[in-house]
Amino acid sequence: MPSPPPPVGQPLLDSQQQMFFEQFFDEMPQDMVPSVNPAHIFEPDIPKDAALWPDSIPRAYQPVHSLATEAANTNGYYDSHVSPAPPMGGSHIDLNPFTNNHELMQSRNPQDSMSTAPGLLNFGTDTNFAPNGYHPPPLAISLDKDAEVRSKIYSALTRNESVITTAVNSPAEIKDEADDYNGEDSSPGAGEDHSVSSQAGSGTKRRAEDLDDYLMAKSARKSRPRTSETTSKPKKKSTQKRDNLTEAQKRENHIHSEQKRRNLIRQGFEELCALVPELKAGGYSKSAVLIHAANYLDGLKKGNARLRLYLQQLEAASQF
Amino acid sequence: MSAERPRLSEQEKKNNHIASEQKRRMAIREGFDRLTEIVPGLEGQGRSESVVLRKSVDHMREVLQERQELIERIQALGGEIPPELQ
Repeated sequence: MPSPPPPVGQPLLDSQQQMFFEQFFDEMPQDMVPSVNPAHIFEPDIPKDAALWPDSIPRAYQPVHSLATEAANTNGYYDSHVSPAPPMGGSHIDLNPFTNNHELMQSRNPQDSMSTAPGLLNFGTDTNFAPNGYHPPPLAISLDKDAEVRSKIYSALTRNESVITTAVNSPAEIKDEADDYNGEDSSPGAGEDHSVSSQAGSGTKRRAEDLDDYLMAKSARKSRPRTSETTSKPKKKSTQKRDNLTEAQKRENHIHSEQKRRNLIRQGFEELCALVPELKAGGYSKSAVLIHAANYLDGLKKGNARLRLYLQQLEAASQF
Repeated sequence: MSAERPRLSEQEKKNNHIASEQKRRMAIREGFDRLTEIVPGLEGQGRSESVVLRKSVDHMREVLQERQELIERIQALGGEIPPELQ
């Protein structure tokens, strides 16, 4: 059994604690002692060809595939599915997945690499991973700028979550936001893009096409006519305000006209109640008021017809 | 409640409520329809409730006014007004 590797740095336990632990395990009942062979902790019984990593990863580090690696771009993008694999040398398999992570963590957190566009980036397109390990890109500034641009993109994508607003997003507003984003990053973002594309001069065809699409989309957005940022921002606010006002006014107008309509109807019912003797007591339902009023009006008209006839007879009689 | 009349479910209560509300509105609409038949100038036009009510009230006032004039003229001629038409 090989002895465990010597601990690095300060020992975790001082001599007293060490003694306590040893005593604890010695006094422990035999059936409670863990049956794990400590040797397995440091040399597990894992076959060499076990699928500890996705198949493609170790291959990307073999010299056979170095052509593809060389052809890839140096953008600092990482595969979105796995943490970077440790360097592979011959039959030796390093089972510690965190061997090289300390270098990575300085430049990028894992969430960042998780959210890179999956269609744009593939494993093996990063020459920072050489057969002998990971090398940070020579231009740390370009990486920072890249991250900056990307964080801007993400902040634009998630902006609606942070803004508390009851107003419905109008298409005009969304367009304005996109333009604002363009205005902010137009100078540094464009510079970054061109440097990337010049770096990618020897890049693979697929990657170059993706980049072209991206640039085309960007320039298409940029080509949209737009006023300067200083004038567009207050304009946006004022339009939003006016929209809200008209919405509120519309609602108020609607409420007002509906109140007016109901008032007219109620007034009509009240007048009918005042005119119809049977309804003078009040407290009748709408349908009852209408039926009584109709009956009363019907009776009035029939009575008037009778009276008219009677009057005609009286007039005819009075002439003789 | 007897055993053969179980409690109404929520859906049945809801349906009953909807049905009675429909009945109420139907009765109101029939009342308006009757008035539009009686009141001149309301036949066959898309009338609102308030318009029907206002025209009905106006027409009723006219009829009452006419009644008053008829009674006065009949009485001027020495006629007798039947008590139900007073």
